[in-house]
Amino acid sequence: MDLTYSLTHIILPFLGLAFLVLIVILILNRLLFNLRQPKINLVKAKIDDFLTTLVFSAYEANELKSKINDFKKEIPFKKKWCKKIVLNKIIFLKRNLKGDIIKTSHLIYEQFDLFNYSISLLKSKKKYLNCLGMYHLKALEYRKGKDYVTPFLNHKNRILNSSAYLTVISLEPENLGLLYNYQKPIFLAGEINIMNIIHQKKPPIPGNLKDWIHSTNPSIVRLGIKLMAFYNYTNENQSIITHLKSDDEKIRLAVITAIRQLFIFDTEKQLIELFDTESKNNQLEILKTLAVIGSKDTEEFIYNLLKKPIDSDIKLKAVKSLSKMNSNFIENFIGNHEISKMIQHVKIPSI
Amino acid sequence: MILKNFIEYYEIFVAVFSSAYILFYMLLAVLSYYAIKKHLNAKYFIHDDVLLKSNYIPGVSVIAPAFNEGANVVYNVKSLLSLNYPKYEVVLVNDGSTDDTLEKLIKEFELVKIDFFYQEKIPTKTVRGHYKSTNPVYSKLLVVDKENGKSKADASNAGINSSKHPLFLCTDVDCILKNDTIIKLAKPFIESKKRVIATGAGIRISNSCEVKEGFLVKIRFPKGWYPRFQELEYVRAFLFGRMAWSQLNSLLLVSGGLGMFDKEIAVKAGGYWHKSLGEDMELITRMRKYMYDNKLDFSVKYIPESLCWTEVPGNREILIRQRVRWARGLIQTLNLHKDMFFNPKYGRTGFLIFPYFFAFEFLVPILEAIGFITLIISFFYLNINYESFLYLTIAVYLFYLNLTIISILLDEILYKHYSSVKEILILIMTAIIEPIFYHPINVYASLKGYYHFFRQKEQAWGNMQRQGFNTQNDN
Repeated sequence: MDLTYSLTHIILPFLGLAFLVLIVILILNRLLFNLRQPKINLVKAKIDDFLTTLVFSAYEANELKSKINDFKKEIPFKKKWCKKIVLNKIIFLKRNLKGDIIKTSHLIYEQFDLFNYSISLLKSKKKYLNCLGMYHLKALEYRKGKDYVTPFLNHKNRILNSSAYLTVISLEPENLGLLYNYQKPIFLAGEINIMNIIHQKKPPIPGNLKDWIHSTNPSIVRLGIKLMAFYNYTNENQSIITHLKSDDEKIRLAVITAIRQLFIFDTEKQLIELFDTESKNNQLEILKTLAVIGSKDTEEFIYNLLKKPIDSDIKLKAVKSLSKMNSNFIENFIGNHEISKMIQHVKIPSI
Repeated sequence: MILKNFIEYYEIFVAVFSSAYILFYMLLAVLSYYAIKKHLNAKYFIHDDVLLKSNYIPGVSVIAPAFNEGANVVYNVKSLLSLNYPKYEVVLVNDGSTDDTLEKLIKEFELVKIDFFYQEKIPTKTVRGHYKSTNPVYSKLLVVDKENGKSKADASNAGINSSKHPLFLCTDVDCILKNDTIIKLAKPFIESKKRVIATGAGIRISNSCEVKEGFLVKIRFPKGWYPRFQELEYVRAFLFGRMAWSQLNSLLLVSGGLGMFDKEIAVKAGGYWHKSLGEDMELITRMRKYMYDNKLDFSVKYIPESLCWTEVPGNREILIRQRVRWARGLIQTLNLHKDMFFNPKYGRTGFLIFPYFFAFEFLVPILEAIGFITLIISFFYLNINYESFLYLTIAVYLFYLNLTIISILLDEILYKHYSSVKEILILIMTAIIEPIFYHPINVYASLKGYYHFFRQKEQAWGNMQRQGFNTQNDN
């Protein structure tokens, strides 16, 4: 087959046809969008009005049910896009309205039969739909959905697995202790999610918290230390301190921060001894902690540190810590041009 | 005879080269689709709202260099101060402006000079002072006043040195950022398993957009032909190319107009190189090199969303000036880091990205020029098969066109930035004529850039002449 034949009989017709098909799809897609959008906007406005009225009205359950059933006939509720709009609006109202909105939002969620929709997502083979289903339950704090999430606690996929743990904890914060069994690493996003749940729902201290810091999973150890600091749990201070010798830099960082938050004063000497062998990040954190728990020993330590040729970030943090501890003591450096400038810098309140 | 042999060998070379080019682009298309899908599917793992309420997210410094921006600087800073992120600062660097940029900032934001301890981790021109507002409303603003360094790189470096957060976002002061830009760009740093060293996102054209006091009021389709051609280029490059490169963890270019970086790595890599004409690409290259040299696992991520609107050259003269600079920046970076080529130490940067940039970015304009000359010679001296040539040309043209239309389609399905069928038809028309009217200008500019590089012509920053935005009336 020569080149001209291939070009004229295969390649060019294929490329030409592809071009035409793409153009048709592109234009049709826009025309359909333009055609559907006003209708969608209208339905959206109706849903907004209806749900807002519903939330602020004191209907009995039966009355609410009949109102919803009537409304479902007014909108193309069987369409997925319509269900999505209703669901997102319920989530929006639940998130943004203060007061006891949970019960009403759950009633509306059930009456619209959206729980079954969320279950269908959880049963889907597509992982992102599973995550979406979990998101619905989490956002609405819909505890009844927990059983549909628990099978994912043992899922091999990291994202699904971690999402399931977060959903279960979010739905039943009192089950926070469940996290102790989590085997995989927890990254910053997961930690933020967990801490957010704890801050918002303030669950009771997990019964097994003392075991967390002995877990074989470094992420759980780290999280355990953070939780102890959050709950002001001082029973395990000695166990926390032993982790200053951990090989994991992030665990040591969590310990240094916890020492500050739990005011474990008797670790001053250990922190000073640890300083030279630590990473820059941890050194900065040590200085911050020493500013809170330090005594004359710390002042002496920082005084000597500032005389050494060290990294300027460390120096600045040292000056900040020292001036926080003893603003008179820092005046000893008044003749040192660099440190004098640092002193001026740390005095600026907005920096 | 020699000429005939040359043409024959050249034909074979071009056939192999073009096939590789086409295959590569097809692969990029598949990867891009996969990466976009992955990005969209991941959004429910951690909701933006959770991050926005958290005390545990990393802080971000938004660095915006300004040179003689007195006309709009106040609006632009207000726009930057209104971004939605709980822990950020705006570091505006006045790069020795000769107009009233600094005076306007001092007056509007009630600034006073402070005793800032400036740590010159990256060498810059002399910093004259730092200013903070006495009004708590503007507590997030830090203004750095420095001597002009004749480059955005030098001003950005002064901003990095003055910033306090572990991540920094570099932008141009006249760029209009979407309200959720910081959270979108910071999210990969929070979510990723590997250490993310930089993130970027899509940039769109603001030339015809309606802007009021630094805020984008209405997105409008570009009116002039040159902005329209660039609109096509941006959609294709950002949504198509960069997403695919991001999927391969091989992104080498995060735009100067919008990019977020890990400060520690950027500083250790030496910051922006003030002599570079493609400082954004050069910084990423150096950051990658640093990570490889220190055997640290890393990734550079790209987000398939348009988060920034910027003004692009509105006429041929400014466009050529910009593209000459870009071409020079490309060859400068490739030359500066030539030790990375096929060096096992640099992994896919050495074996994939650099060879790609050399072959399909640097060489293409040269080959196109040689091809054109060869065609003219053949016309006079050789008996070439015009029929095959014509069909081949049409095939290449249609392939190129299909790629562009796929990009527009992807953009339409995902974001629907255009408001009507008319705008889409104009865009299709623009795509049809782009290879004939616009592409040759780019080839010319690239060759001129290479020529300037080899002649070591003194480099200078071309001032981008801005037309300004359509402003909405108050009434």
